[in-house]
Amino acid sequence: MKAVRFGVLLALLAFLVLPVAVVLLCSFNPGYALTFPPHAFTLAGYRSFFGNPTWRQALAASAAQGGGAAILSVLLGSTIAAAIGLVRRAPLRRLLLAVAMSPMIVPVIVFATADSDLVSKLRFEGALAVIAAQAVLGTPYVLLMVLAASQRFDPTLVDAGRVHGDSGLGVHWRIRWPLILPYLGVGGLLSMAVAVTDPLMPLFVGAPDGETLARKTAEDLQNGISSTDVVASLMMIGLLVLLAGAAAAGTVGWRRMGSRRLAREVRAALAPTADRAVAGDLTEAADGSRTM
Amino acid sequence: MAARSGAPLRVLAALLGCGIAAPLVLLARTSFRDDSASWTLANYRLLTATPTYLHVLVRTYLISLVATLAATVLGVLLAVLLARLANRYLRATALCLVAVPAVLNLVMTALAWLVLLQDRRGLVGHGLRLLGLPPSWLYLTPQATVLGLIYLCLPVTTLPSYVGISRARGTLTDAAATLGAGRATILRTVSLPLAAGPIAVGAVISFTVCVGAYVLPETLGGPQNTLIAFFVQDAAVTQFNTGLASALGMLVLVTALPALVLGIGGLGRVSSAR
Repeated sequence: MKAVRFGVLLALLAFLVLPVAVVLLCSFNPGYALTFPPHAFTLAGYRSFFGNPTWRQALAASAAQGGGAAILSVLLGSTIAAAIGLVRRAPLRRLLLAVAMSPMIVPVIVFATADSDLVSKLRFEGALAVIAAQAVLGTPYVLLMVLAASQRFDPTLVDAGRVHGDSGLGVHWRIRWPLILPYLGVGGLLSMAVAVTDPLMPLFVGAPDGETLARKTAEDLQNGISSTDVVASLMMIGLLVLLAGAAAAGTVGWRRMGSRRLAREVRAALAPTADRAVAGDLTEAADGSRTM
Repeated sequence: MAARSGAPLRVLAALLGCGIAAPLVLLARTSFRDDSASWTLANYRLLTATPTYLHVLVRTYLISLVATLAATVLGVLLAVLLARLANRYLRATALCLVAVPAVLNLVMTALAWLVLLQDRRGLVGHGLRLLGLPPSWLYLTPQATVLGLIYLCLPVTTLPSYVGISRARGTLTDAAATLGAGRATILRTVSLPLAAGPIAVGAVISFTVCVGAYVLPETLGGPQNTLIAFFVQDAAVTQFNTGLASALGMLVLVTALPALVLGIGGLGRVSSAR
């Protein structure tokens, strides 16, 4: 029974990973067609990707616009979450939340058409418009993550901080923010994944020559896909994996740094009065509570 | 009370108004405009006079319904299996793998599946023959579109279901086990009913993903199986007819409205009822 369960799980996971494996193998194909299984091994696709300034610019544009949209959606998502938390009447709160979540529900093509209208009225086509439009698409993911985080957040921690003499702002920066940060990071990454892989917004609200990796790949679909496009798709995945790694390392490092600072503060506060052993125990406890 | 929530309300109104309400209001307005910016019903008249649009709309909703049902069933199955994994590192790795379809762009997802499905002597061809189906059953057919949409929607249905099911574990499932219920009974009578909200939300989001899907349906299903988003994109990008594109967008928005209201209401309830 257990073997059957594990087998079904593996089959479903294989179904999810299969296309990425195909893309990876096809990126070493020579020539201009996707064939599977690949019949030769060459790095020609990679060479022509990095040798072509248009593709390099598209890579930079994807990274910049994806990063910009992710940062903007984190700001928007946390602001909206905080503002919704302050609204007292429950039905109104639910309605506002529903509207804020709607970019997740309304088909992207509808938003793209609508945004293109708005942007051309305002004469605002370009990278900034793409960032703004994609940030709106990514905001619900951040909002969901912040709501999940605040659900796990223990409000007595804030009271404890205040009781021990920390200011309101101090409590916010030292207690609430570090606890929500990992969730914001995941929300930002999801929103970046949406932004990097979406060709519609660059196509509908971007500048006429505002190529990103996703848009260029989508345009090449009409003229015939080459192994360079396949490499471009892998670059989008690479971009996201790189940023996920950096975000994870940053969060872990930041927390470790914070715990070291806390340990130092505890040691400094206790050293003159208390016994060294007690100070040691407390700093250890502080270390432990932060790195958990 | 009302005075205290004034400032947050203004912030919310500004943000949601600019990002969400303004574009949609403008979409509705443009759909009633012609090239010389005067009011007209011409775009909608063109829609009703062209039977293709109606056919495509019906096809879009049929295929989306089938794909959503299949993706929801598979997603709940996957979520149950994931929640049962005892090793937390294994579980974290598996959860990351569930998110894989989100990082591959649509064009490549479509082409990778096309390559897999047209290879008649490969994995898919053998599998189809084992099931007693012709090897071309999944090549440029509506079934191929459904398969691609299931792939696209599986993370969307799996992750909320997983959250719902793992949240439902704990004292309630323990109590059921103490009272002598087997694992299947616990799943059917305790875990799944408690996770019904998140599962439904996942299903609605996956339905809207299907309704709005572009590139993938026409690549996998072939030109005779295109869905409505293709025509919106065609009108806007190829024909530069923003009026027609907006009218088509309104058509999608209005006909999908029941599902959207259901989903938005569900999302609001699931994420605020704590």
